[in-house]
Amino acid sequence: VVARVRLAEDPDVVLDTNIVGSEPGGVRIGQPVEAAFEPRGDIHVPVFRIAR
Amino acid sequence: VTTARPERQAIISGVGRSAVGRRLGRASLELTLDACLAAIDDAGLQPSDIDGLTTWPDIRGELGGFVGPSVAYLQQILRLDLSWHLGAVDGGNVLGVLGEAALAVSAGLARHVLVYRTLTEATAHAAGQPRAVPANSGDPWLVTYGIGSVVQFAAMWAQHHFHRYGTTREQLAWVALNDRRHAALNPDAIFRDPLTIEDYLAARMISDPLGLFDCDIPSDGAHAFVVSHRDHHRDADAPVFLEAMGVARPRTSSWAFWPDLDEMAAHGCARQLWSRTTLGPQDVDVAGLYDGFSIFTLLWLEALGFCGRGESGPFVEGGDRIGLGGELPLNTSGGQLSEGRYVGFGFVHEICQQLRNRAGDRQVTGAEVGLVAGGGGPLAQAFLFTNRT
Repeated sequence: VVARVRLAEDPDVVLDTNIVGSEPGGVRIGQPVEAAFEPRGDIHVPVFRIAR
Repeated sequence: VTTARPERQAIISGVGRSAVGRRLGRASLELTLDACLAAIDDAGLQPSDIDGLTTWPDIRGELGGFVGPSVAYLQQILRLDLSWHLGAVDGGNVLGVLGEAALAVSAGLARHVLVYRTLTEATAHAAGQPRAVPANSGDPWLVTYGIGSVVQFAAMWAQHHFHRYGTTREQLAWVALNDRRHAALNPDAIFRDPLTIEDYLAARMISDPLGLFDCDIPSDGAHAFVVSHRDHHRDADAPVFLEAMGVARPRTSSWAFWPDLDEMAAHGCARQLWSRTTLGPQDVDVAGLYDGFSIFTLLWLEALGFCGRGESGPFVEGGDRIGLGGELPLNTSGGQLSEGRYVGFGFVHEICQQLRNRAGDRQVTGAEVGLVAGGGGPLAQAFLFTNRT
């Protein structure tokens, strides 16, 4: 799922990123998320999952 | 801030268009010359009268048919003696060269500027050339996240609007349905068959909530305009006067990392436009608002004050307000969703023809004031035209 995430720590910062661990229909605007890191090619990049 | 409004010294004295459509298989230069010579003739001029020349984008390479002949090349072909020229390379220019041309004639740097824009995307894509829009990523950071197309960013604006204001696909559909019913009246339009709400909703989803009919059509065709000093207006057959212009680019030219999905660059652009004229939204008789993706048209309606923030869904629903005979006839050519994707210049062509009473079966009776808005997301330019001196 392609998503735009605003950081709670600095609302001026937005990231275009992915929500992982959820189907597209299970993601809603405004849901709190938490950072995770996934390998993409040679590097690990920040992605987000729905906060538990 | 100055109270001078130099753009009012500019008129569009001539309008030209080549053959337009899908997969014409014609050379970009040939289409360009057809449009340019038609515009020069329409202005009552000869090529030797042209002393300014500009286009966007003026960059090397084919870019999948997104780019026409360069300013330098076209100058040689037309053998022009230029006192002003601009080959714009900035990624967000879209319609901006029209404003630059107006300022050049206002400043006395040129008397007649030829502005052209050529696209051969349909033919290039059919020949297997890679699709390329300068604004899009190639940015490896975005590719990492599977973001490779502007449609994904446009979809985020739409998702936000649906979430915050309760806008529905059935409302958004009216941008496409209204375009299509106008295209039926436009012999130049690519898609003229009736489109129903059922067709719209059943079409393939591209990037939720934007489906196939929310996305414009890669097309072939060239447009040209002669921008002259207003001193020339009595010699022009049907001059169109530039009343005001607006441009804005808040914070970034990128589609990515956009800070506030409640706004596009359109909002600042609209504020500037209305600050430069005593006219207001209620004075506009016909409008062409960019519909590269349908959601942009809704956001332009709000930005320009045709309706309140968040109210564009109900505003277009049912299509009465935005049809011919409605309070705001909108995208009367069929727009980029049905006439073809000419990256804003199709709207300039249409609004000029409306103000010249040359829009055929889709003429808005008595149209005197027309508005063109180009771009979406981080890109925005707007122009207000009249047919009154």
